[in-house]
Amino acid sequence: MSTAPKFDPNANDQLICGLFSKKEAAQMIADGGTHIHSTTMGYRDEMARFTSALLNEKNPEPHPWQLVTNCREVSLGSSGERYKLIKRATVDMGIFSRRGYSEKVECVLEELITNGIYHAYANADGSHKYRRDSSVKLEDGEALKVRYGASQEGIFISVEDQGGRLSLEDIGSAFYRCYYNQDNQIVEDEQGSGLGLYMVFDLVTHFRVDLYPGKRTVVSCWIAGRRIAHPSIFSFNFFKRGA
Amino acid sequence: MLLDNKFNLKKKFEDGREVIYISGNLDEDARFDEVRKDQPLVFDMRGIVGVNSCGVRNWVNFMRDHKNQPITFRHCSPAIVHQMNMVPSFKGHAQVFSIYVPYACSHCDAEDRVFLDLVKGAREAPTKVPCKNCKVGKMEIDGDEQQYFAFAA
Ligand SMILES: [Zn+2]
Repeated sequence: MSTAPKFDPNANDQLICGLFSKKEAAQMIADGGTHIHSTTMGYRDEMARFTSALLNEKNPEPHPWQLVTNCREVSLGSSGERYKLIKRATVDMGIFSRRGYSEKVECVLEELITNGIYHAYANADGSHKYRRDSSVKLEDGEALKVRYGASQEGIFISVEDQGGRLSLEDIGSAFYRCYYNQDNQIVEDEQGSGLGLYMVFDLVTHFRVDLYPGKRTVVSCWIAGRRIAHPSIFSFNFFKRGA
Repeated sequence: MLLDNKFNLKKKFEDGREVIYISGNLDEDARFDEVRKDQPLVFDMRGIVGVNSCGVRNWVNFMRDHKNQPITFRHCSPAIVHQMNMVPSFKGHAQVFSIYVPYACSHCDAEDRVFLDLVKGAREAPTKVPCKNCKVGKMEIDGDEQQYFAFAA
């Protein structure tokens, strides 16, 4: 049974392992949960153990699934370049001909890049710097870093902005609204529909945010290959980094 | 979404009624101004290859604006089925007549789509179908079957 989220910032940094649906995970995230692994292996799960080790480290090492050998990094300086970049990424990763996979990857890349451009940067009064309905050329120092790579096991995607404004509370309330308030999932806001991160989380196997408040945000995802993918195996991690 | 998959809407008369074919990417540029408000609507959605979050909102608002008209979806592509599952108001009050189910070969990784006519009572997709590509392997549903059919529950 779902209860209205009571965001508890002190819930941070606790590792929760079990077998959940993404909907159940959304409730935990809305309540302030930061490290949630749904796995049949419990705390012995390799990914969960890695998260546990990371929680004791100051240095934000990548999870194992981020270490794809042929990973590329591309800089993106304007909204107009994003479709070219997405097409190039799917070709580079050799998945262009694989329809089911490329649809997922295109969706994840597009939503994360769009979020990065239109939500990461603010004016001095806190309002959004770039309007969603405008084509944007990012200023020096604002370019997004888009990383991607593919292996037999799956696909890695990450998008890094230089704003650092994506809070756990924002993610949790968006997930909660989308999973539990299905008559009212969509936001009528000129900056977007409020569905983007939910769509990404729903599509991917592992979802991780590294937030450096006011400095940068890195959203990283792993999409497991079709032979490995299982809807009950997934993780959510939110690391807030001080320095 | 990708430049070569621009949203397109085309009307055709078939068996004395209008069928609206939509294709490409359903995104913020999708427009439905030409759709009439005074008759039942039939959408053929086989050509939709991607849907982004603003496209979902466009579509849901469209469904709301046409809530008094009977609406039918037919030949829904997997991209459409995924959206119906993620965002229930995407389907809204529409009746879904038929869908495509994505399959992949466990032997050669080839992909295919199997048409499923829900009106004729085909509620379940075949578990395995022979692979036309390698002619050795069997194709299975690409993804979780229960999740894929959640919209029909
Ligand atoms: Zn085959």
